[in-house]
Amino acid sequence: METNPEGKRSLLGWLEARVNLTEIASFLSVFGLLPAELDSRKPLRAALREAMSQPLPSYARWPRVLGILSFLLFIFLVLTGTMLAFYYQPTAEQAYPSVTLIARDVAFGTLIHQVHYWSAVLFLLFLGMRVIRFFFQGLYARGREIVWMVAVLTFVAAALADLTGRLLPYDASGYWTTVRAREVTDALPILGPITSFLVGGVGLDSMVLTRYYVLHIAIFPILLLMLFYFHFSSVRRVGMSRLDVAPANRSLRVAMYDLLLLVIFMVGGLMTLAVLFPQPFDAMANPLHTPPDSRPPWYLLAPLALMEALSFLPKFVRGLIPEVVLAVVLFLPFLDRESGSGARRRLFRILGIALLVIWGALSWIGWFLEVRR
Amino acid sequence: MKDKEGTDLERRGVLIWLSRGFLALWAPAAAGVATSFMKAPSAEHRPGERAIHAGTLSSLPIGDARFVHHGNDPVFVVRVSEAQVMAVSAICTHMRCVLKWDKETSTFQCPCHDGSFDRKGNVLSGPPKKPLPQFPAEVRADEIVVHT
Repeated sequence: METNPEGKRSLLGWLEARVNLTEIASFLSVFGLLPAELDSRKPLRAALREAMSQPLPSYARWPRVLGILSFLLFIFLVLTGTMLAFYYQPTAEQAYPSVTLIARDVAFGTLIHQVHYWSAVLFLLFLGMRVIRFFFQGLYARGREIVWMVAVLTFVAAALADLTGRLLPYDASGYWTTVRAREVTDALPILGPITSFLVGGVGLDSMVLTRYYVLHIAIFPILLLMLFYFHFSSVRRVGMSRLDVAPANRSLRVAMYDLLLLVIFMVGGLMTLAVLFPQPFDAMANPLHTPPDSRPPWYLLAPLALMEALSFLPKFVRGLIPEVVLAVVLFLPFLDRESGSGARRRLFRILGIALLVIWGALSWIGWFLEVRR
Repeated sequence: MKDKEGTDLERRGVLIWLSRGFLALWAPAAAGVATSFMKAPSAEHRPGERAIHAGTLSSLPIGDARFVHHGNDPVFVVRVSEAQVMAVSAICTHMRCVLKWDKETSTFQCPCHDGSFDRKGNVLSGPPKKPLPQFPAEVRADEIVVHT
């Protein structure tokens, strides 16, 4: 054992002499745990002490909780998803028996599945709310373009992860939701063929199911992790968003307790949802029998309604509309450049409200599309 | 003990340790949930795999036995009389070798260490000490179904 500067033998000092612990800690802390940078040239204790004593007005405080909550939910999804993967078998014949095995025979299987389900629901919801908050608080102005684009892309990647996860149990609702979703994605001009290429076909047999599985457990989670890393790195460069309320003068140590409280409330919330509103598996999917009320996931209801409403247009044009909207949203910081009068910002704000209202209305129509038929 | 502002330091310390202890309870609870989830349920606890379909009764002569594949635990079904069938494990209780049916002597022979069992699974000779486990078997519309 080595002796540390204070002259005591310690395991930390022994490790410190052999590996740069501060560098490891700074890699981990880049994922939102410490908003401050760690000086990786200093020993771990000194670097942490320095970071902890920095004043940090409003970390993990409303409305700045949406981002950190979605990252915490992501960790939950990875943990519960890894556990479920220990039992899941991604083939058309074995998928449903393996998920029913989890739900019926494995200890805490239902709880783990339900927590995974509700984490996914909240994850997507919080990421969507976060984009809306960024928009209305103008948090895409010069300097924050990357933060905005990463926020939009994170929502898209999370939606894709959600979409690929729905097929995996191979139950009736998941199967037919995926069929209806493919109806939308296949109509998109450039993204459609890419999707088909990635999932390897139109049918939903074992080959395609295995690809959904790999996309769901490897490709999209890694993509999300990269986007999170990019977001936290960008925020360190451009700083956290300014809040209107005068922030209390708190140290990072106090902010960490707030973070801990958030975790506790989130675990409690997830358990409550999992127990009070369980979403059990449907009957096993039968490709020859379409249930009457199959719908795409909620984020694809509006594009579906749009495509049905504009059925007089060629398919190419109908698919182009959602893509153009997505591109405009993604590149908003470059379209909405501040001018002297601020008239442009006002115009974009009105356009944003209009988009949200139209989106909501179309989703409403898309939901009842099946009932009218 | 009080500091200069009159705060009760001891009570505060107790509260801090209480809350830390409360939070520390989460770790064993989470570990307990995770480990019991990870423990794979044994074959007996998988309802879908409990019933083995062991072929038709009419194709099995009286007094004969049939080998039935079932994962790592194959079984023999023996037709004892006109209507009665019974099922025994096809795994030797000595070293888990798969047994062979000897029609001449109506016994199960172990190819590994020369153990032998009668058709009810009782040990006749050789190193095995325990009899073969029996399973309930029934006939449903000429099909033999074994419940493991």
